Amino acid sequence: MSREAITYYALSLPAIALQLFFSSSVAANPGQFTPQVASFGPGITELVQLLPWGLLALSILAVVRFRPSALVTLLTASFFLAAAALGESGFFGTALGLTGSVSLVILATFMALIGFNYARAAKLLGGRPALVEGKGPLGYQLLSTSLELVLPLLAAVALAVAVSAIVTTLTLQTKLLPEPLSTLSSLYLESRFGLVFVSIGVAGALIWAMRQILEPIIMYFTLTYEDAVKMALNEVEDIAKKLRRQARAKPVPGWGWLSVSIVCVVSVSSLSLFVVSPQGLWYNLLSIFGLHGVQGAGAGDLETTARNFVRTIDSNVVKGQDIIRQVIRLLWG
Amino acid sequence: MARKYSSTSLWAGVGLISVSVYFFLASVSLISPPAQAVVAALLSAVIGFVTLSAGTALIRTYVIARTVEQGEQAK
Repeated sequence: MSREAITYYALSLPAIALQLFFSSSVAANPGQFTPQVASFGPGITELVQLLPWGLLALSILAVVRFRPSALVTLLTASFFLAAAALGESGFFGTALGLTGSVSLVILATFMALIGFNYARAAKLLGGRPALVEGKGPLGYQLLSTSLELVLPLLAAVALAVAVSAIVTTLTLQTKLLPEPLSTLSSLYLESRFGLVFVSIGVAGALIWAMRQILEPIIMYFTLTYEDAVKMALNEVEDIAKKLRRQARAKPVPGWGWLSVSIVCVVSVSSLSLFVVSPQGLWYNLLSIFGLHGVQGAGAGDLETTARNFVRTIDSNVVKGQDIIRQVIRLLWG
Repeated sequence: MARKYSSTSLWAGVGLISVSVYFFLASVSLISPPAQAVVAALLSAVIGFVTLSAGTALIRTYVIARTVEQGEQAK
């Protein structure tokens, strides 16, 4: 096994270990599953216990097949499954909080992505030893290793620490917001998924900032003429496309807007007729001009129809509300 | 032949990044006790992100233009 492959496996190991931790936590604590899991019906507890092991097996396969992106996806899925099943009661005990768990997932993800570089090298070499042409002084070799491995690892650790610190600070600072933002944001951050999404958002923003700063520096030292020409053309391509589109566009007579307006008016009128009934609508229109219509006979049937229609809509809305409430309960705990 | 790239864009980019760092620090100080201006801190962070994006875009364009110019001169 080549040095690159060993490094790749070593960098993928935290993700596998973390998944093993999540899977064993879920399997060992079926009694602590959240009530939402049981609400799905019989047999779901066994399925939730088995699913993380399936994800773990797929992750090992992803590592063997040199698929770090699949590994990261499966790790994230495993974490969400464990978080949804156990909530704060299982592995998110006093020692390892939810924020700490998210930081660990981010750290493992970062390491798996660093390992991708080595996986690619191992695939390219195919078991052959790498021919290293440059053999400089020890200091340069150390610098090279630092830039290649130590710096990304340090960046990953710094990222995990920064995410944890920022999320903790944000959780504390939400109480200072004016109402109702304070209550809303506090409730959001108290929920498991809210905290996870905020952590992922903060990590994304930090990675974006790091990339923004590092990219021009790396480009300055490594960009070749051909690549620069391609990038310059790509930059102006969007503007050129926009200009071409504008030049091709012909002035339209406005039939499109007229059609949309007619459809809107007809829809609103139809809805009004169904909901209010024709008589009611007519009386309302008359009342605009200060007139009152004469109450005619035979309106009872139409009114009953309209009322039944409204009752049907109400019933459907209540069903929709129940479904949405169930989803929110599942997500927010 | 006149140069197609100017160091002005580089320095403008560096300046914008410095401004973004200032705003990021300001956002931290705005939520540090005794200050309690959370909304202002969020706004400050947003301004920081926007200026950082603008600054790095300027530097990126400068680097591309410089590389193209040097490549053409070398030909």
